[in-house]
Amino acid sequence: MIKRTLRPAITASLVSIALMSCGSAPKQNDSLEQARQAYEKASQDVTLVKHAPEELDQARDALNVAETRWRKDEDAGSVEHYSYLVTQRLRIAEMISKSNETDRKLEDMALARRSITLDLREAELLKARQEAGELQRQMAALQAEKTERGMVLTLGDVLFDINEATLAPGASRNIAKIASFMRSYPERQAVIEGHTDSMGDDDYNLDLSRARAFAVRQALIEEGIAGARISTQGMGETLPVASNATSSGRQENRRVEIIFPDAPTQISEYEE
Amino acid sequence: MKQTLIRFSALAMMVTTLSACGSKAPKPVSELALAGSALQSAETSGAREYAPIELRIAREKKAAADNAMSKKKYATAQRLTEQARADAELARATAEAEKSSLALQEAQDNIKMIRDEATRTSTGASK
Repeated sequence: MIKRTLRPAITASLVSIALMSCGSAPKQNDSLEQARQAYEKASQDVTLVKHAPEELDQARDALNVAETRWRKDEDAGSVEHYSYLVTQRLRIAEMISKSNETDRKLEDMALARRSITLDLREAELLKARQEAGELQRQMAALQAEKTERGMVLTLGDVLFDINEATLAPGASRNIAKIASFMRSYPERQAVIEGHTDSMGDDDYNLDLSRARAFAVRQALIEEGIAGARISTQGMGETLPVASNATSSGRQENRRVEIIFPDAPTQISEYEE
Repeated sequence: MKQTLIRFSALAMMVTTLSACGSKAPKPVSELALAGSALQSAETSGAREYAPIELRIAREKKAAADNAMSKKKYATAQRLTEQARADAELARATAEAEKSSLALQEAQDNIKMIRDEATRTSTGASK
C-alpha cells in the first residue's frame, strides 16, 4: 500500500531531476524577465485593454505558467517557451489594436468624404442653377421661347423691309443682345432660319429667306461672334406660323428664327 | 531584418533545447490542427503579401513541429506547435493591420483629391 503510493512520487522526482539536468536553469531568466516587463507595460495600455482584452488574458495566463515553471525550477526550455508565447500574444494584441484604431479612422474618413462630396454636389448644383437662371433671364429679355428644338428666338419682319434682305437700322439692338448672349454661353451654337410669307414665287421666297438668315449671321459676326458657331437655313414659305390670308398673318410669317439647341448639362457625378 | 535573425536564432535554440528533452508526452494532435488552421487563416488574410516574415516563421515552426511528430518527440512537437499557432496568429493580425493602414492611406489620398476638386468648383462658381 505504502509502496504503491510512493512509487509515482519517486518517479516524478526522478523525472524532474532528469528534466533539470537537461535544461541548466540560470539564476535569472532573461526571456521571462522580458515577458514580465512587456506584460506589465501592455496591461497598463488603455488602447490595448480596450481592443484586445482576450489577447491580454491569454498573455497573462501564459505568463503565470512561465512563472510557476520558473519557481518550480523546471527546465529552462519550458520557461522560455511560455515566455515566448507571452510576447507573441502581446504582439498580436498590439496588431489588433492598431487595426481597430485604423479602421475607426477609416470610418471617420468615409463620413468626411461623404460630407465633402455632398458639399461639392451642392456647389455644382448651385452653379448650374445660377447659370440656368441667368440664361432664363437673358432669354426672357430676348423674348425667346423654350421648345423641344432648344431656345427659339423669333425676330419679326420689322427687321427687314418688304422684299429686302438688309437689316433695318432698328435691328441692331436685338442683334447686340443676341451677340451678348452668345458671348456669355460660348459653348452654344446658333441655327438661324429665314422664313417668308406665301406672296410671290417659291424659289424667290426661298432665296429671300436664305439671304435674310445670312444677313443676321453677318451682323452677329460683326459683333464678334465666330462664324463657325452660326449656321443658316432658308425655309422659304414652307413653315408658316400664321395664316397667309391676312396681312397681319403674313407679317408674322415674315421672320427670322434663331435657335439655340440645348447644350448637354455638365454636372459631373462623383461615385462613392 | 535584425529582428528576423533574432527570431530565427531563437527558434534554432528552442529546437535544440527542446529536442534535448524528448519525453513521453501525448501526441499533440489537436494542437497541430489548431496551428494548421491558424496558418490557413493567416494566408487567407493575405499574410503572404502583407506579413511575409511573420508567416515564414510560423511555417518553419510548423514544419519543425511536424518533423518532431514524425520522430515521436511529442513534447518538442507540442511546444513548437503552440508557438507556430501564436506566430501564425501574429502573421494574420499583422496582415490585417497592414491592409487597414494601406486602406487609410488610400482614403486620405482620395479625400484630398475630392477636396481639391471642391475648391476648384467653388472658385469656379463665384467667378
